[in-house]
Amino acid sequence: MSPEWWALLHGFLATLFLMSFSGSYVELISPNLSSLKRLKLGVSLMALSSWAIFLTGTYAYIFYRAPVPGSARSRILAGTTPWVHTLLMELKEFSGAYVPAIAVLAVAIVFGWNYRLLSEPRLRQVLGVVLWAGMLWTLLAYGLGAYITKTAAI
Amino acid sequence: MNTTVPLGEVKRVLLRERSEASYEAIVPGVFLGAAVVPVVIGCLHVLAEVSPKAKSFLTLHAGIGPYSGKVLFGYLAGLLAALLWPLVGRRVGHSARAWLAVFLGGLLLGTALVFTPVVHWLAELLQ
Repeated sequence: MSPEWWALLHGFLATLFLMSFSGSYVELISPNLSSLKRLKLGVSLMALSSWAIFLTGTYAYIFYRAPVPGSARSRILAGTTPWVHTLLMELKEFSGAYVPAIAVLAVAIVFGWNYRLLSEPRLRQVLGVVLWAGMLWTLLAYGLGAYITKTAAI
Repeated sequence: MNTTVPLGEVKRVLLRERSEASYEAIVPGVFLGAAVVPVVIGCLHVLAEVSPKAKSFLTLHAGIGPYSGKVLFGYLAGLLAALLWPLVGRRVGHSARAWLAVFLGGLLLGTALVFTPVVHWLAELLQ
């Protein structure tokens, strides 16, 4: 598979992550036994997609930073906007790497607190903040990735 | 009225409650682990900026450079924290909001430590 396809798969998985976030968050609004089941499914999907995004992104990163003149990093650093790499790419690669840890935390909360989530709004609020953190850090990586790809695709 | 509950049913409920309680006990450890991952990755990122030796030690894969070591050791530290917490932190309270604060603090600190202007500032301070 070519680097472009890896990058495309990486972006598609990020979209899947954001969709599973929306699905999970909606289930927190009026929770009941069946919404708890869907919540478990949603956060599990978030965790699986976040690890897949992380692995595909790390693989695509090899092509991005290849020490050859034609690689995206070399083109960005040699161009008029080297800050796209030095400022944005560093933040993107690491903020994306934090998301699997956030998603695993969301899974642990949902499966660990389980039925308590139905009766204790305070716990649902905590889970809501964790889900939003996962979404915001993904959006940060997603947005920066789109901007970097626009500047120089791999 | 004499009602009898089959022994198998009682055992099943007790086992289910016990496994639910043990699932719940791992949550604080995972909060701590999720906070440790970004902080350790951030610290290793700054360390690699300051020390060429550390940078070369962290380069476990030539293709992705020191990123490989930073992420691997960061996740190993998070896993270790999550596994050890239920053993060492049994007596610490389980306030959900306090754990959320720990997690968000770690995430924000870890993000600041990989933001280039902060990294350069810290590298100047340390050198």
